[in-house]
Amino acid sequence: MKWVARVTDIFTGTKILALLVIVGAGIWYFFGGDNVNNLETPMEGSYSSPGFIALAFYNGLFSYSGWNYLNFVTEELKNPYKNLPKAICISMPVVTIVYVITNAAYFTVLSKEEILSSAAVAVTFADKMLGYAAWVMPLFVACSTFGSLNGAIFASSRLFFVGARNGHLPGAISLINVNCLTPIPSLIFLCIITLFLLFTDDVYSLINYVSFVEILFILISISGLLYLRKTKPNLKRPIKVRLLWLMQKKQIYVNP
Amino acid sequence: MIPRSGGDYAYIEVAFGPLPAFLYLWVALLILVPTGNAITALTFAQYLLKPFWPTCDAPTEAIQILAALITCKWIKVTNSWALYQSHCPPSLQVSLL
Repeated sequence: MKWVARVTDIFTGTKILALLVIVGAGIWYFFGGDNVNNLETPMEGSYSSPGFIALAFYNGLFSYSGWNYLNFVTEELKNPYKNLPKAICISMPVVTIVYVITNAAYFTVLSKEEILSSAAVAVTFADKMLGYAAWVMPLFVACSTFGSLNGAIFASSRLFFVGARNGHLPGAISLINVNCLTPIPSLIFLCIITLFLLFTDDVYSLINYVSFVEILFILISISGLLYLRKTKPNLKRPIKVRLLWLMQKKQIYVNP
Repeated sequence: MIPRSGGDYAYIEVAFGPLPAFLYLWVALLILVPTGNAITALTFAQYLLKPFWPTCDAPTEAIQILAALITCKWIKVTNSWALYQSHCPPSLQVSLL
């Protein structure tokens, strides 16, 4: 836990640094002359059919996936009633602001055609803006992906641990190496499926594939919360939103 | 609040019972986690190889092979890391699973 947290801290710092470099270069470009051509017609040529809007949501939400990872390790948190809501309240606005201004920087510097044709937007951006220092961007991205893999494996191992504790996984997958205490069988199992998925190199089809399933289950979780609110309204909750505020108000008007 | 690990799994189980939670666990094992890892590995490979092909995209095969290597390598990395960790007190080890 301690080491995972330290590795995550370091790689998150690297990632934020890289994003701030991009934002800084974007601001410098924006105020460095009449360079706002790319922002004049930002939505030109967009598709507006519902299917494409849904795909846009999948791709947009994918970049935030991982927002719920802290919930996977609730049992290991100190004072989760206080720290879990605090972590969410701090991290979500910060991440949202940083991602939005980073994308604004991309769209300021690069034209729509450049972004669409580039497989690695950050590298294209760095080639254009950073000159001789452009080589740092692939390294930053490598650190960032390593950090996110670290976090994903940390969270998913807890998920399989809890599932195995409930008897929902076959014994072979939930085994743990005696010497190293790592869940080797489940890691090998995941590795094999991941290798099959690598037969495609189209990251976007994989994103659509995983986002659809992920959002479906998040929808089930959210409806579960609403359901619990109705069936067990007096449970202890650290955050309680007044869901039916409008309906209650209406009732007050109707009742007298 | 549900003071248990497992995220969506714990919430779904408390709200709707063991069967939907079981389905979520297996979907996570077969789709969510491997696809997420595959996307991360492909992104890693694409960005690391991009400087070697400055004027065009890196070849598909190179990206896939590097992504596959990093996926397989990951088991070894976590394993050796855990071996190093096994000199620590047992409580720390269990939390590192």
